[in-house]
Amino acid sequence: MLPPETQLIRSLNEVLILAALQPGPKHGYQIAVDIEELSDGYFSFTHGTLYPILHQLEKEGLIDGEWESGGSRRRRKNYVITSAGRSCLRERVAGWWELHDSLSAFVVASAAIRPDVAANQ
Amino acid sequence: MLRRISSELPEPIRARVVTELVADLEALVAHHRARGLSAEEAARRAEETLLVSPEALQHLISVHTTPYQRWVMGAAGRLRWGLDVVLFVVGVLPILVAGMLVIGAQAPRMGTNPLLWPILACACGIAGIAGVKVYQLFVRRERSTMRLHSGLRSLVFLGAGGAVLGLLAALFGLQRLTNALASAPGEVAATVEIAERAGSDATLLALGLLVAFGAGIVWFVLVNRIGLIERKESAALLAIE
Repeated sequence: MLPPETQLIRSLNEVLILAALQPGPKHGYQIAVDIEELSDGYFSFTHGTLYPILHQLEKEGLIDGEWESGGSRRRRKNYVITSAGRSCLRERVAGWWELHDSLSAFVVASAAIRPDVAANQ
Repeated sequence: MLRRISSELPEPIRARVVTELVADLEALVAHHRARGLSAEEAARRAEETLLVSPEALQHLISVHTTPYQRWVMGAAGRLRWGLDVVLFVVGVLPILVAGMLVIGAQAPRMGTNPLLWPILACACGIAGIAGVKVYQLFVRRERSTMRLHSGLRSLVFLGAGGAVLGLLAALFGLQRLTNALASAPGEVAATVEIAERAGSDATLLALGLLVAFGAGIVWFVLVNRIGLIERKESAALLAIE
């Protein structure tokens, strides 16, 4: 059993990858580049952490890995989101929104947690 | 890092991971170069993003292998060429020979149990597979790991089959013994019958277990041999690249 913070990070990474594949098929490196660029550098995959997650998602059937036949070029692997991946993404995003809303509501309700509010009291 | 991947991931996953990683590295360097970075900076950033850290490699390995496969790979890494043969000759062969001698002494009585023949068929199947693998490994010098792997599961299946049949044979023998005792004429005759039949049935059980043991050993040695060939092949390929 993984620690909760590891599970949270893994789940977040999976959502990022599934969301990055929504527009269409991509190579592994493109997924990493798109996530970094779309999030203005807030999210970034380093040290090859992308591949275990990609392969896990592929194993779970949430994405498909297809090899391009590149002729004389080196063969590249393209990833495509599957219909199971799309429904998983919908569920995960809904979960994240729920978490976001609950957390926001909690933070607002317990004003002492907000440093700016606490400082004014 | 590519060398570590090649030594720790099993075929055919290893080749796929290395091919994917190298292609992505090349593409990401080209992407950074197109954005105006120098060749060195582009390579550095691509490596930072995509080159797999030891932690990520562990995660990758756990995605692609079962705990059992990881144990077998670890064992293959600890063995060296020749050591498996020494282990086999010194530790296993004497047990197999002694077992066969004991069973040979009981052979005339074992023949009365009909399950002897299926057990012997399992043993012949195991010996046949072992013979084919020895031929592939040492005579033909086969290096196709796909061909080398074929038949290994049958070894486990036949070995397990031998053990199960041995147990069934022992149960069957006990049942026959009970019937024989019920119809035995006197106390002495019954005692002799018990001793003889129990001896032969226990031997048959031992034969089944010996078959399973032999299959397990042959399977273990073959898996190690193939693992070592895979490592050598992969190291050679990466050295060329």
